[in-house]
Amino acid sequence: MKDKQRCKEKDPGSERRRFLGLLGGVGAIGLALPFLSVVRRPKELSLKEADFYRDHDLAG
Amino acid sequence: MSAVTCELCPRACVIPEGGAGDCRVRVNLGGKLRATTYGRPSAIHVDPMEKKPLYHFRPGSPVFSIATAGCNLHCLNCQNWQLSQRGGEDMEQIYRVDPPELIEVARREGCESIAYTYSDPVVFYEYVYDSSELARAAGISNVFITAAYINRKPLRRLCRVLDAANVDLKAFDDGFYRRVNGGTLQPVLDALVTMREEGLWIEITNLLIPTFNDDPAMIRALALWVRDELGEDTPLHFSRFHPQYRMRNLPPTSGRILDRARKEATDAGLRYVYVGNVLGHEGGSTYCPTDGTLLIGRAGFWITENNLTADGRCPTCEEKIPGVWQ
Repeated sequence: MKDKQRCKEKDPGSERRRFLGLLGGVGAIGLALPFLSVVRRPKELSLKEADFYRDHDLAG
Repeated sequence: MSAVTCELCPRACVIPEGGAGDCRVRVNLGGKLRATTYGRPSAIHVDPMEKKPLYHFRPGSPVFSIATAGCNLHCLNCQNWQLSQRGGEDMEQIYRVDPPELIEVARREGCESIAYTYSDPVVFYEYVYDSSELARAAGISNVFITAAYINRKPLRRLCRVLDAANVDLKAFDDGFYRRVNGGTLQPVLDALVTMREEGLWIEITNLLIPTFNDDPAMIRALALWVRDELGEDTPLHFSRFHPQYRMRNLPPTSGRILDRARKEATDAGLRYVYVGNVLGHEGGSTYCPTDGTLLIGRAGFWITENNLTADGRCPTCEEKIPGVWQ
């Protein structure tokens, strides 16, 4: 009985861990946002970079 | 804010400012219609003419082939969907090639022709037109590989600078066009007639999809229409379907279906009926319709023998074989 009661008692460090977890999550999102919001654009090539004779599977 | 109506194809997209048409590449910028892919092809290759397929046009010659992103049809079985069902900004890579450079490079590579192909060149109309005009002036032919979903007026103008076309006539059934391609049949038939009127060399491809458009009655109706409206000398290619894109649940077209289609079209009176996408099939070669002499033997895209005379006649009976042979 005594052991069960002890488990239900609030851990004094839990609030702090929760706060740090939240802070870490917000920080991670903040760091990732600049990378996630980059617009992907096609790579622009000049004809000098083209291999006209390589095998391809386009029809027509 | 003014919307513009694109009058290029039968969709007649009304495009709001900053928006794009159904093809993804024709946009309204400041109230003016622009093609975002002008001078920006995403695919460039040198192919044999037989790959287009054009069997009666400069056989065996290399053709400088280009395509941009975008298409005005949305075929469930699209073989080039990575290119056609995307806008230019979605491509992995694009080349910057203005028409004068295109002509220069095609010539440097020894190509007598330029093909506008792979996706549907209808959606890069202005690029095709400007390039074709320069190519013609430089003695280079222009071939248009298309589903011909285009209005008559712009097509007629384009035909003045084109030399040949292979038109993908997807089925002789409007319901099929609506269900599988997101289009309609009649504009394609109108476009074929317009091309014939304008004197283009035309060949037709009909990709046979098992259970969808391989009904013998439909094939016969298609062949009869081609004979009556375009002429019995119009080459017709029955092409083998491979499971692709959103039609992966179907098997490839069987040889039996292709042979049956070829017989239907031949019985309907067409004189040059081919089978494509089947390596080594006898229907990949050209025979004299009068005496059966083998005129051009092919294995895949490659010519194994060419027995035509210099002026395009059967060496046995001297019948003139229609086409552009020089």
